[in-house]
Amino acid sequence: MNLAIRKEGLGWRILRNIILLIGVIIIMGPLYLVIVNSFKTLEEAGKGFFSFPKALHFSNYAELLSKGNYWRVVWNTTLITTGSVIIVLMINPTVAYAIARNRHKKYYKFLYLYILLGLFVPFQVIMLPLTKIMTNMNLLNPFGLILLYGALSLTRGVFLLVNYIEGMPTEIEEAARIDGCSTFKIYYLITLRLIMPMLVTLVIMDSLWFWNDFMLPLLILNKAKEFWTLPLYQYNFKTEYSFNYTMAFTSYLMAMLPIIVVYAAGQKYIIAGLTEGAIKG
Amino acid sequence: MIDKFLERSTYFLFTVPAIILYTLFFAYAVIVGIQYSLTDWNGISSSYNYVGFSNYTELWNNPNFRQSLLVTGKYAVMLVAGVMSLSLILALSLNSLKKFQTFTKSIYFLPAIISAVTISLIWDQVFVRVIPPIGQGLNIMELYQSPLAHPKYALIAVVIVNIWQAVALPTLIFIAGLQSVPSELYEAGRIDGASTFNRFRYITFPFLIPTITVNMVLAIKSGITSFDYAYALTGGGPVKSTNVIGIMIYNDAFQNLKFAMANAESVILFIIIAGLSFIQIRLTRKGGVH
Amino acid sequence: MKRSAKLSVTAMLLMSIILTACGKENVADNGNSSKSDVVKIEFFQQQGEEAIQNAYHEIIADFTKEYSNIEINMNTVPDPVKVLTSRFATNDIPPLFTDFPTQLQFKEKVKNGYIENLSDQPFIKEVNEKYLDMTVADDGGYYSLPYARNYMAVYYNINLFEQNNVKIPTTYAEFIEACRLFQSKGITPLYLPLKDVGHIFQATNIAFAPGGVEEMVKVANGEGQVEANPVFLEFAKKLRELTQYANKDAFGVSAQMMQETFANGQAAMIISGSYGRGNIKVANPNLKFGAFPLPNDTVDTTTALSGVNASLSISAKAKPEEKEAALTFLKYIARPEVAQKWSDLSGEPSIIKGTTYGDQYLQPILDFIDKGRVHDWMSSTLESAIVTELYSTTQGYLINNETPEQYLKNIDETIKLNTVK
Repeated sequence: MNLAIRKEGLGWRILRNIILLIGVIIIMGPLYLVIVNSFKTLEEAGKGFFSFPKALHFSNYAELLSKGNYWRVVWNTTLITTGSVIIVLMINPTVAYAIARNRHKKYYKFLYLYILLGLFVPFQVIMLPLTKIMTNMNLLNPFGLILLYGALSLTRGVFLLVNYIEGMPTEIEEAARIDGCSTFKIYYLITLRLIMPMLVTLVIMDSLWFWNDFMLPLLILNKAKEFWTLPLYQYNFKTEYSFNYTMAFTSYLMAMLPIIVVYAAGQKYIIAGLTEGAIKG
Repeated sequence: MIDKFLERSTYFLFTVPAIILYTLFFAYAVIVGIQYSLTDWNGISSSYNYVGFSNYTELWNNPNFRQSLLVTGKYAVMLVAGVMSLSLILALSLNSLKKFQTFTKSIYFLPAIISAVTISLIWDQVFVRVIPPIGQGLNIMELYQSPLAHPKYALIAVVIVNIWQAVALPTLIFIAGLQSVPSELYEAGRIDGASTFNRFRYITFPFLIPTITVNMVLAIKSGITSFDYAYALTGGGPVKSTNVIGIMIYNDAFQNLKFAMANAESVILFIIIAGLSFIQIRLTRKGGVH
Repeated sequence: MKRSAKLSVTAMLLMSIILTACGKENVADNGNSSKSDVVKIEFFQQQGEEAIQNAYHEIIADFTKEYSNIEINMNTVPDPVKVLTSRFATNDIPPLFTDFPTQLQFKEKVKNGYIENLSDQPFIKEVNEKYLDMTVADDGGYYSLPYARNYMAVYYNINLFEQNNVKIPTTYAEFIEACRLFQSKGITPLYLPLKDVGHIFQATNIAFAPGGVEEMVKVANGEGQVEANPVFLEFAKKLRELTQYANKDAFGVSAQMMQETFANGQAAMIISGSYGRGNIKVANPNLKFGAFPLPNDTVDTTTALSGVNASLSISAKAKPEEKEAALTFLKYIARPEVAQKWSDLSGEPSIIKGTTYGDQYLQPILDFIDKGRVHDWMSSTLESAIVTELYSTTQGYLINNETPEQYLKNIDETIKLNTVK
């Protein structure tokens, strides 16, 4: 019996490894191009897009980092991403929890539908009206953008979290309630811990969205260069008739670096968060 | 006394900040947007008239719009099929890896960190510089030029690029979902002699239904509202073979002085997505483990 | 409990730091009143190309030396057309901005009173009349200062021409002869970017179908048709003939790739806009290249596509002191010596009278534009919705190998379908 199980495991494992390997090549291929071309001048890249650089030109990097604006832009993006994530964490789980535990009550049914419908709204519908609202409220700045991201995060966040919470067993909560715990305490001590995997996933998804978003910063922050975020800065290398792609690639890599650093440093916590739910017992 | 009030209204209070933000910054904008779709505003003039549903009837009779819907539908179907199957396979593969799991996961995650425009640009170069030599070498006529140049294959090529990036996040969601399956069940299954495939079918799959629903809804929305890749790679061409509705809306709003029409197109999109998603959620409500 | 309390307190602290930081930026922006004698205006400048940015920066620096009470903040954003449209739509118009006065969307803005009338300004007389006339609004007034011009031309590799003893063709027949010669020597005669077919369509239509654009406007108004029109048939045939001398992978090639390939000396000629010059120079500073107009059957029937590239306007909704400041700036840059400096730095041909253009190799096209027939871009007479749809129609003709007759029929259909009522 043991042998039979082992054999099957092996077949699956080989297949799996092949799949993963092919995937890695498909992913690293384009990335190789980004890295390699960031070390060339535009002239050299034009002559040989795929070749390894003849000499490692750090000039692109030097130029990028020395332009005073760049650090300001990184700071803006970090600020906006962090601020928005904090709001996301404050409002998404709370609303999702309230909805999930009260599905039978009319108010919460309506609320879920209200938020869920927002999920299907294409961005183009709200693009100009939103800009107008923000202009009128004098919120064409990072603070306004943070509030906006918080509001917009609700559709996906609530959708994901409500589904996840509903799939959770309620025994622990019920036990705590019998023990006399208040709803708030239950939410804070128990629920938050149990939904960690989805919460971490949500934070990752949202922070990537805020970090890489182009459209909203373009519409909300275009008044002053001091407000710019990284995507705006990167897109500036592409004008209507020219694309300074070597510089652009350099800036893409530099934009990825903070994320990679954060991920590497916080890996332990991220993994712990993602797997915490499994250790329920 | 206050404690009792707070306790009873905790759930309600939990919802208040969210409702305020959502209504102020989102719901209001949607209503204004829908309002615009009932006018003839061109996006610039200081005045406009209410024209009721005439934008919608005009769209109904517009062959460009119908063709666009078809293209979008094809795009969405390919995207959803590709993303769902690949991310599920990847999630299962990554989850069962013992060695190098974190490292491999990180590699698979990289495409999600890059913006759509960057990815489009890189793949455009790959398509136009790498494919023709390969095609000529293997003597496959269809590959003599960049796939983006063929009206027949451009759409597939764009979807492939979209999938390249889109797979990462659903994989994460699936992995989170896989974590929710109690490991004792697997043990039991193994002891009972169930094959890997059957273990997946009877144990894993039922627990995955909520995450499948979630991923599918998000993927459908992403497919139907797609814009970035098609716009950056082909601009809607060649000969409109990749002219998804997102591009049509963009052009009408910012280029063709047809802003109200663009809004009407968006509203129709909204109805389609909502309809599909509701059907899907209804269907899968029956499944799942509770 | 303690740990989570700590966490939430930290979160609150972080939030307040962030909010105060943002608050400070907000205040700093509105602080226009501190030095009441310095007027600051935003200059929304749409062109991001490096040379042009440099040129404006230099000019603005010189200007500030002379007028120290005016501060011009040049603001160039990505995707400027979209941003400008959204600024207009939300009534947040920049006091000074660049736009395209020949386009219908600009005329819309004028109609709605958003743009300041400049007809009585003295500096309007400094502009080359040919181009000034292109920019006249529906009410006969001038609402912008046209500053630089653009054109579509055939760029040619001077070395390749000299090595193969080819002279600049002045008729279509000579042009095809030159293509044949290069092809026989294994050199790609023409490198076409059919992925970005739009400008090729406009350039060839204007060159090969004189009066064609006006015909299409008639079709849009419900009169006449392009089908069976002999002039258009000629155009369709010539367009197809061009592709026979072009690169085989044209449909996947973008304009940028075309400029790169040409810069690397891999093609004898390209049909490109003046905007491509900067890119070619960057890709290969050592390339000797020039430009001549795309010839039709005879010199007299040849038309070049040329229009206004940079044009500055003032918002009619701006505050009086902002308008004053903007007018002063426009007066300044209309001076011939300033325009010359701008032209030299940016590499763009100026249309202020009294300026000369430095690049001698581009004389053939520039001379022709000064003396010969010129036609503006299509979207000054034909709605842009129609124009962009015609790009697809043209692609279809070339990719699907349709007959010229079919192509013309499709053009008619496309125009009728996309006319804005």
